[in-house]
Amino acid sequence: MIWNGFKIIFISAAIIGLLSFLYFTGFSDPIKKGVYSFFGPAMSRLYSASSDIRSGFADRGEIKDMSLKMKELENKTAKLLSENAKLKEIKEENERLRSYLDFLEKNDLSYKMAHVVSKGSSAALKREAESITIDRGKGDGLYPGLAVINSQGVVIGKIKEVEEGFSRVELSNSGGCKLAATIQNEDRTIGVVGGELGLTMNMDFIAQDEEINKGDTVVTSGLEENIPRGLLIGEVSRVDSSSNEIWKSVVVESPADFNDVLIVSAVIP
Amino acid sequence: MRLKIILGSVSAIIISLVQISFIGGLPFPFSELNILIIFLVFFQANRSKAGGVWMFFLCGLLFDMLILPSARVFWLVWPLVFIFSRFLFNKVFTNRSLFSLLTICFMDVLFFSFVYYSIFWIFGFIGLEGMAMPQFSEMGIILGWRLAINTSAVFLLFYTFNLLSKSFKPVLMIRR
Repeated sequence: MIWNGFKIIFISAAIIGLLSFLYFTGFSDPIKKGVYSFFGPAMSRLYSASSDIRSGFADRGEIKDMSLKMKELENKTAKLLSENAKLKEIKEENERLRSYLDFLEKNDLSYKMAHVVSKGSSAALKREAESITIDRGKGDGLYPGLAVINSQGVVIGKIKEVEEGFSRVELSNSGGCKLAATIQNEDRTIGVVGGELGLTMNMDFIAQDEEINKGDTVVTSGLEENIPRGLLIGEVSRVDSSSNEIWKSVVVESPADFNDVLIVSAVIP
Repeated sequence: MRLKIILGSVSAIIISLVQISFIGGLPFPFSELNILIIFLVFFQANRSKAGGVWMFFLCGLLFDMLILPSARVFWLVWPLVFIFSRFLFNKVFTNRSLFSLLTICFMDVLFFSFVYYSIFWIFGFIGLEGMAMPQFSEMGIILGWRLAINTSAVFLLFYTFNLLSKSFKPVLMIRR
């Protein structure tokens, strides 16, 4: 009886030891890859279903503000259309000048599309570490530090960890995510946009004399090694400035809906 | 016996996937639902010994592979929770009444949370990278919701199973 007990403990310890060895030395990577590819489609569908439920919950709370939001969006669309027309002109002029000065053509960015298969972790440790898991990993050429955008080209986060067939993306409104950014104002203010409580983003330590207005667009500055310049992060929704403070800060609101992210793209420079 | 092991393992894998992908994506507080613990409570209540701790070891491995970030400790956490739950069933609550199941679910959720947060606190203490720990007050709210939602689920399932099976009905032993 005692011998049987010892036998069970010995066998259990041996199996746990073997699995731990395989896991921590990386010999289990082919098994992990197989597990990811086998369960990935099912996980993707399950996450999609829960995302619909989550959106439904969020929508119910927004119905009251619908008409106000619609009006705001109509005004914004009109403004964006006219801005778009001006930008088109500038783009054409830029292309002409580049060819005149014989600049080399900049390579197009390459993207890796991915499905979102889960959000956060089962322990659901809260908003300081909001993240999603996507079904692309090392084998697809991804590595930590890459920007991840949604279908509208808005930056929704940064790749934090990469495994064989999966990667974790820390959302840009999460406390751990920092993005080197530029505000498209007259001064071209440069700073770091950091997430806060899974709700919003801030850019702190801005000099008081920098002229920043509500509605200014915030984009990636290109100062980070793996993130190209010009990707949209959001726009300034509030400027917090006090005359007796050295610095001011701005609150950046992203146009992306972090609750409704199903397909994303990792931008590979 | 073998069929029980296979069925149990497949159920545990499916429940783990649903927990990771579906439950994890639900809005708070529904994301605090832990269907694996609920499965554990009813699994223990049926007194099935078929590969129990190995099933949860398998679930733990799946969690470690499919959840990022993971400190790769679920392979230890889930078997510990199973052993703790088995101890409660065998030595403390030896019946399958509603009160027993609710209390065991309550204790299992507390034990799981304690072990999980302790490991991450230790990781942080010794300088290994771990997940961000929530604020203490926030932890209380999260734990409160987690206990409420899981015990409510056990409560509802208990009566549902009672409609379909006699396993949880009290039985009087009559001496002849």
